[in-house]
This record gives sequence, C-alpha cells and structure tokens, in this order.
Amino acid sequence: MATTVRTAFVRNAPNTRLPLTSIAQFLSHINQERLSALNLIEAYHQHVQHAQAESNAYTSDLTVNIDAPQVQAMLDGLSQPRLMAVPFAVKDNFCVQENITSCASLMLQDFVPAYTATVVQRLLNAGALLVGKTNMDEFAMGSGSIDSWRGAVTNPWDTTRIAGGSSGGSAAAVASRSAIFALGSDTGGSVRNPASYCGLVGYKPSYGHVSRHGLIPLVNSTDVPAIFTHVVEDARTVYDVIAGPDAKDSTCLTTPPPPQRDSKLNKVKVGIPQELNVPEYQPYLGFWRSVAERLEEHGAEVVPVSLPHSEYANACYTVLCACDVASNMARYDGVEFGHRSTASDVSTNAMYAATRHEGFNEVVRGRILAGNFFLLKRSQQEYFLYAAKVRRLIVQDFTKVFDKEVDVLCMPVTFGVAPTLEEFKKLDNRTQQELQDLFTVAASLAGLPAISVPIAMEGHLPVGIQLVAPNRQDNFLLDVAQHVESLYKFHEKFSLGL
Amino acid sequence: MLKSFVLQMARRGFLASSMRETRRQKCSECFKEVYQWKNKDNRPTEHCEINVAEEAKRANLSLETIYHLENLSLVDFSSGAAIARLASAIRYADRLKDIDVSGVEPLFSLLENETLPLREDEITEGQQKEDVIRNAKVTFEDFYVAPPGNIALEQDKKYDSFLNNESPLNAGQQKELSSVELKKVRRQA
Repeated sequence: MATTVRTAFVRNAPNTRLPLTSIAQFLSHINQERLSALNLIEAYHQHVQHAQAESNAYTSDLTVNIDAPQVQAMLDGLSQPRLMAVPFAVKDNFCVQENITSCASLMLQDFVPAYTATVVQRLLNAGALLVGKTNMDEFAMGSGSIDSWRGAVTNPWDTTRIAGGSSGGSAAAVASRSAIFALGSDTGGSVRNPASYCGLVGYKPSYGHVSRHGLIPLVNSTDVPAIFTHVVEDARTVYDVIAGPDAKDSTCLTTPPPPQRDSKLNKVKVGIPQELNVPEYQPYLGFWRSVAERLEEHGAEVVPVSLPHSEYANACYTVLCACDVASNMARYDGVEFGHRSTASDVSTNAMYAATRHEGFNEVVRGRILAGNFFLLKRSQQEYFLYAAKVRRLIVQDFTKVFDKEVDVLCMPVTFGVAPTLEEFKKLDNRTQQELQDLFTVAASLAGLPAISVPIAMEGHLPVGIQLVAPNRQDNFLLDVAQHVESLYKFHEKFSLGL
Repeated sequence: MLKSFVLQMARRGFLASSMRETRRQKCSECFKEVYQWKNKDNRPTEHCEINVAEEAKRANLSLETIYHLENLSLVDFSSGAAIARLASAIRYADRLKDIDVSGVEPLFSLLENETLPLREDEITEGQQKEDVIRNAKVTFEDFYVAPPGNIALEQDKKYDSFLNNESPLNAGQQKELSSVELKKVRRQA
C-alpha cells in the first residue's frame, strides 16, 4: 500500500524489512514473501534487541522461546489462526508460565509463575507470538516508567524524553516496531498516557470486559488489561480475541453488553467537559479545540458538558489506590515467593520488614504507608470511606451526562507532548501523577471504556486525544475512534524512520 | 599579597557580593530548590529537617503515627523526605473534604449491581507443587520456612530529631542510607 511517510526520526534500524505496523499489512507481507520460520524469528529477535538498546523497553527477550515448527506450519498455510505469527509484547505484570514475571521490581526478580494470564493465553491460542516482557514502573506505580528496577524507559521518538507510564515499555516496544501490538494495564491512565506520548492507539476496555486472571493487581476495582496498536482496527481485533467471560475471573462479566449507540459522525453528540477546559491549561491544549472543531465540521454535534466532581477524581484515586496497594502488597513477605532478605532472621516481622525494605522501591513503600494511613481507624471515615463516596458521585456525573446529553466525551490525554526525563524527575512520583493522570483517572474510576488516538505532531513529538464512551459501549467507542483516526490519518503521515 | 588574599576571599563569597557564590540546587531529601553556599560537600544540611517537621505538622502527622504506620506496614520511611511525601499526599487527599457527601453510599465495586458467576466446586487443575514451591527461597521437605513469630518489630527511633525539631542532623551524621543513595545501590544491583 502506498503511504506517504514523513520520517520524524531516523535511526540505526535492524537490517530487516518486516512491516511491523498493522496486522493487515504484516499478514499480507508474509503471505506474499516466502519467509522461513527461522528467518522470521531471527528478525523478531533483532527488532527486540534494537528496541532494548534504544529505549530499554524490555525486561526479557522471549524470542528464544518461540516454537519454530509451529511458526513454520503457520507460514506454510497448514494452520491459519487469526493472528498468525503476529509478534506481540506484554507488560511485565502479566504472568507467563515458566518465564520470569518481575513487575520491574527486585521483589519479584526471579519469580516464575505456574500459570499464564488468560489474556496472554488467548492471544497465544490465536497464533500470535510473544516476543518479550516489557519494562514498566515498579508494580505499575507511576506515570513515566522511570521508577523501574531495570532503569527508565525512554521514548523512541526522542530518547531524552519519557515514554509515559506505567506501561511505557509496551508503548516503546510498539512505537519502535519490535511488536505489532502490546498489552499494558490501565489503572488510572497507564496505557492511554504512554500511547499519547509515543504516538499510538491506547485502548482501555470497559471494566469487567477483559479477564484480569494473571494480571498482578494494583487497584482491583479499576485495573483493566489494555491494548497498544498503531491503528484502531488492530485494537478492535486484539480486543475481540482477549475479551469475554473467564471462569478464572469472576469479575469478568458474563452478561452481554447493551445495544451499541449509533456511531455515524452525524448522529454522534460529543461532550467537552468544562471543568478541565480552564484558561490555565490553554497553552498546553490547543489541539483539543482543533479536534472539537474538526468533529463539528464533519457533522458531529459538539456541546459543553459539566462533570462537577471530575476535578476531585485525582485526589479520590490517590486515596483508593493507596488503600488497595497497602492490601495487595501485603503478600510480599519473602516466605512463599519473591525476594527474601538475609539481613535478619530474628523474627518474622524483622525478616518481613527487611525483605520489604530491600525489595520495594521508595514509591511502592510510600504508597503502602499512605494506604495504611488512610485505613487507620481514625482516618478511615474521613479518607477511605469519603473517597469511596466521592467515587460514587464521579460515576453519577458520567451516568447523568451520558444518559441525557451526549454519546461520547472528548478530552486530552496529557498536557501536550512527552516531557524530558530531567523535567519529569523534578517532581516526585506522587506529585507528578497529579499532573499526568489529570485527564485519564476519572474514566478509570467509573470503569468506562476510553481510548487515546494519536492525532498530530508538535515539533518532533506526537500527541493524542482521548475519547470516553458510556459503560460497556466498547464497539461504539472503537467506531467513533476509527472516525477520528480517519480525520487525522496520523499513522500514515508520521512514523519513526524505521 | 593582601590584595590577592582579598580577591580570593571575594571569589569564595566572603564579601557582600557573595550571593553570586551560592548555588541553586535541589535538596536531595525533599526536592525543593534551595540556595546553598558552595561548600565542599554540597549537601543542603539544615534545610530539610525543618521542612519535614512543618509538613508533618500541617498534615497532623505525629511521631507516634509514623512509628505505628511502619509497624503496620512492615516497611520503613527511611528518610525525612518520605515523611514529607506522605504529608503532602494527606494534604492532597484533604481536598476531598470540600465535597458534600451526605446521603451518598460508598462505591467499592463497579459491578455492585451485577450477579457474578460462580463455578462448581470441582477440581479441574492442580498437581503443580513443584512449580509453586520452587519460588520459595527457603524450604524444608516441602514446607515453607519462616523465622519465629509473635515477636514485635524492634524499631530504632530515627525520626525523633526530625519531628521534635531538635538540633538538626548535620551532613556528617546522616542516617544509614539516604533515598538517593538507596536508588543508586538498587540500580547497580
């Protein structure tokens, strides 16, 4: 297919010519060329090594595990699964049997799960090939992927800048074309944020639509396995493979979603949340207005809406996340699995404390302590329960707006393009998250499907726009996202020169 | 000779124009930018301890609570900066109190109105003892091994000087490992 590609950044790319950009392009390429399995696997290996050297995107290279005879059978046409030979990567908090799953932490540096996450297994069953586990913020706590025991992830578009977080490694892996799609986990914006910074589609399905079995949890009531791709069509394909009921995750809904709304642009009403549309932010958000105008030009009705409690969503999330973390991290004591300290064997408490001091970084320890503070008897009423009540108000805001006023919300993902590592480190992890999660966290708290679509370049860096749909309207959201994508054609116009 | 001495002193910032000899750097403990004399070990010294005490007071964080949290969490703060960060998290969460939540029920699960599926109590998989137990560092004959329990954690009172605002620690007497050094150690590991 003839595309105009404006090279934004030329690098020393590997010597192969695999178009690892969209599934359709890739499948047609391998159908035309007579490739051998060994050449293909070697090519994947080179791509992964390159991404690793450039961006520190991976924690482990799994191309060595790929079963060559199985791949050869696919290439010879003996089996034609839906995602045949498509290379993908997963964030290192998804368990993969017999492979180290570390959550980028010293605590789990040699932890080998006895089972594979459901979503990963479904992708493997569909013929896709897992090329590696990707780097991330330790235990998914952070918004820049710099707080990793394996070192920071850098943005393939500019390695002096962050890739976003906490699924930065997955984003870097796809953006640098070492994988066609990747899984991340989106708890407060952890996939949408790096997608915007790395020029990718970052799609977070509705809470309850995708199984979390095998995903090491951060906040059990907002975690969703989410998808990075170059084009919305691929996000839909991957979603179709991974979504659906799972006997091993009872929070994965078995009831079918409701009828989807009409997604033709001239029938869609787009809402612009006014509480976030404030003068202080304007210098960073010029593209928001231009997206709204372009949607209007193409027939959509664009109206301002009010989400009165959305400015408190971040504070609410801070409390609820810390509380869940305090509970979820309690399992790491060094006895049954994970790091075990040899500093002190005087008592269980002393050993646990030493293990947890050595195994967790400052960010994780800080959140555990904060969570336990919010859960103290004297603070529970005024922090934990209060935040849970505010969460209900936030959900009610969305319900009211979607029932009566609009079909989809349009807002930024981030304050513009990726900051430099230096700039990002000026604030500590928690304070930085106040800024980074501002636009993304409300949709997570309400469990709504949300997607980041890349639209433009500002200088040499990409930026995306966010769409949020009503609960369980995933297909509707993907349709609207595809319309927005076709208005901008980012993927065709801009690419890393690889 | 006197002239060169004076010039030397001027360069080292001992005269009125000595503001030029200060350096703007970031406190390695609490990340605030401070003006510091260009002293040879470059460590902001009294700055941080005083700040921590203020932050903790504003967030109503008492010394007792700090030690209690360390005991409950079985993790330690390990630096004044961490205490200041908790204080700032608490003050950020205090913003929620602007909202009136009277009559609102707390929301714990987004699936509260759904009926979640249950499955039959049938064994469908297992027999993975080896896979599971090999993750433990210390085992004995298929048992997990733990040190003796029911012994309270011994806590050294290392934050008393921070929060009681006694004479601040100076650079030479730092506690075990500051957060910055700890990060460096871990990166090298």
